[in-house]
Amino acid sequence: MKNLLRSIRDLFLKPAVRIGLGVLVTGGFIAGVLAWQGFNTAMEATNKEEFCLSCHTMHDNLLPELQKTVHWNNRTGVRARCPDCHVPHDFTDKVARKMQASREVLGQLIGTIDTREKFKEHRLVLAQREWKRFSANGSKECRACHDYKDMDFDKMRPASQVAMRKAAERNQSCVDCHKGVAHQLPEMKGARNPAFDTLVSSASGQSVDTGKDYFLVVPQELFADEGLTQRIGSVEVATQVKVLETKGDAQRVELALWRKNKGYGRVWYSHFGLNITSAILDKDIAQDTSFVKVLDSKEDPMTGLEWQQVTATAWMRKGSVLDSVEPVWTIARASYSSSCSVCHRQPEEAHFDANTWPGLFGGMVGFTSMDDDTARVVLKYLQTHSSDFSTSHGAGSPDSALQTARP
Amino acid sequence: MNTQTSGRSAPSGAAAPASKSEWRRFLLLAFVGLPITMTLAIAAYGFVVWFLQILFFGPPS
Repeated sequence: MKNLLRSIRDLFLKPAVRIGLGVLVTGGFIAGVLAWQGFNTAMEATNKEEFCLSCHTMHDNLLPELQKTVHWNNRTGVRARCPDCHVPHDFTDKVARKMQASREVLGQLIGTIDTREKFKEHRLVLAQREWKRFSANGSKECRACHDYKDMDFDKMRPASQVAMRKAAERNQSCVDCHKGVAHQLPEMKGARNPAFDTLVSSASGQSVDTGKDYFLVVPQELFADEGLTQRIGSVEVATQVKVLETKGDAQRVELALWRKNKGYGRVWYSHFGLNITSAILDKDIAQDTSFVKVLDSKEDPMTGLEWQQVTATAWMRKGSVLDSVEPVWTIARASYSSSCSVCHRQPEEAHFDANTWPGLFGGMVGFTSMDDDTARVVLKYLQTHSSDFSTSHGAGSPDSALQTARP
Repeated sequence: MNTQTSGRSAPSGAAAPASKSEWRRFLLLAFVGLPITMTLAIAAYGFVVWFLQILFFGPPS
């Protein structure tokens, strides 16, 4: 070791004896040129589409998808290759990304996504990682070809103009709206909002007193028996239930809700006259008078429909209720403001009433990346904070005017 | 070792082997040692930037 160090020191500090200074410098210069050129060539080789496609995960999954899109072939003959979008173009970020690829090499070696099924399972995580990168750098790689400053907005379709001018004003990241332009979108169905995990874990630690009211933190199935075998319906998130007893894994709860006296009366709502879905029962059970007790009935003057105040008891799995609904709304509020403000300023909750929200929300939720559970919570949050419930807010204030980027 | 520091005054009999080893060391350093060091340094730089991105900066802006 000591010898090695000494010979290295000698190598650098002792002047050469037999070789002229000019030869050394010239030799070093040539070696430097060759080394740098070699490095760049190698860098470029790993930045070729052929290199990306040499691993079968890319070749079997992502290439066929790209080939169906306009980024593969089009009338102008300009096309995007993998690294055009997926490798940063600046040196530092590029080198960092290349080193990050050691993770992908490891994945390839241990076969994390070596089948189509495994790939689809991981696709959401992979896509989210890439979306995060694009949102952080303002879709810099897209804008190497498509930049706001080079766009002629007048040549766009009128509907596109509105959205694109606004986006340009805000210098918005392309991928915020244009997801899935080169590959299929991940299956959002299986997606889970990680925020619910903390909710579920705090619900499992919730001590439950019989006879008190609690709120569901996740949707639950309802059963007729304590063994949880006979399914009779389901109850929605954030629904208020009264816990009557707890036996083993099961909990008997009382639902006190409203329904329209029309059809089978399967869908139960939390308030009179408001379409805030709280429970959905099976057809035969909803008509079973020994199960459903009607306490009251009123006519809704708006629709002329008769609403019944109903109550029923059912069993459900325990460990999914909290004594306060606020934690659920906190998640919903965060999701509402982050998902909707991507394309437009979100309207205030109380700008619409509870029966207007479902239609509006249903029309917009497809543009977001919300999973089903989150979407249901957000809708319920909006409805229960709508103008029907808000006292402080005047719906006509100019502040709350809906600004939508999509006409 | 010390006798060689005097450079040109070294006995001419030792010149041939000294020159040979000098050429070998020069070529090894210039065409093998330093390019490898450069590649490793750039790789290390990349890893450092990546880890900083994970820990502090987040994805590049």
